[in-house]
Amino acid sequence: MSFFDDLWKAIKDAFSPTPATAPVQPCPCKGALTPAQAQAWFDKFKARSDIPWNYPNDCCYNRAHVMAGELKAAGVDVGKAWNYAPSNDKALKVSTPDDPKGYVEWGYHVAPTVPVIQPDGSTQPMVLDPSIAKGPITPEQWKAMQSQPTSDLVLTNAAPYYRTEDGRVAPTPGDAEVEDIFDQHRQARAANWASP
Amino acid sequence: MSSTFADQPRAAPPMHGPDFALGALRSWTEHAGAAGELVLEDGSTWRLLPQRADYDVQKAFVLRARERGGWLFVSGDRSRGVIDRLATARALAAQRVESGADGRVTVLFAGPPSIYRLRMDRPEAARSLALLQQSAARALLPNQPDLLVGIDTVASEVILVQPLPPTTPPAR
Repeated sequence: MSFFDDLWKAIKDAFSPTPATAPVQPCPCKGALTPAQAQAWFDKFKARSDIPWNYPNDCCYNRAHVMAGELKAAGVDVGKAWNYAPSNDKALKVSTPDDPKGYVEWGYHVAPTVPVIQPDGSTQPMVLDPSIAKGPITPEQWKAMQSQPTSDLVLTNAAPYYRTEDGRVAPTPGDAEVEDIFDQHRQARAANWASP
Repeated sequence: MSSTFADQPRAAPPMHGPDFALGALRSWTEHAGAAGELVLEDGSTWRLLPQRADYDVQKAFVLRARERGGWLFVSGDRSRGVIDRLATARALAAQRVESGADGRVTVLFAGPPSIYRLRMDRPEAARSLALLQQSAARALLPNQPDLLVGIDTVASEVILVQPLPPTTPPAR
């Protein structure tokens, strides 16, 4: 056996004879965000002047739809959090300077969720809701902000534009209608804060 | 220097009518220095006084109806033809109507998350309540509206309810 044969054998022995089947292992956090990335998305949405964050009277379903669409387009594994009041008498209630009464009462509320990577490598769904929060919060924190302990918190994928508490889903409107709804709500907001 | 209350935006007052109307726009005319004149399809004429600080904000509802179609909700004095406030009338379906022991009636529509109250001392309240209850019994979704609704979002009040007309008014 020649020197080169010995060398070739040594090289072959140094590597596994079976080819690697998956040279790139899938990340368990695919579609998830770091806490900093989640905050950056929150800040980016909050800075959008076309989205009427200051009209809590209405629009959560439209805001959630637009945010979810942009997150999904960026590869984020986005979902939605829905919170349902058990009755009109036991409404969700949030104090806000953006309503003439100083608070809003809702029968339900919705906002997008994103998976956020935790220090132990697991992921935690976090709600992005610039209409009532200052940064990403857990669904439980988000529900608690709405001051109705008996409300029903439901997490879904991003698909439902509008979902009733019993799970019926309305079709998603087209982009032009979504923009028209924003326009209506910006106009209503302006009128609510204009003195005659 | 600290901010003052004058720096804070002030909320509009609740709609005070005393009359309310839901309808499609027939015409809108403006002349410099004069009131804008709004005519609804029912023939009623309403004037938006030019000295109002919120003239352009109110006028925007009329322009929206003219450019995109849809209905207007007018609060004002019908005998004098003067507008108090305007809003876009909403095509909605009621989802939940509740009457409390204290006589308080509240409404949740399919779509909008806010809970609105219905004042039973309004002249049209009994008819509005019946229409809302019938709609809620149908368990409709937001894309299946059966009512035309006038809402004052300052007071969170459903003021006027009518059956939804069969066709949406076109843009003009």
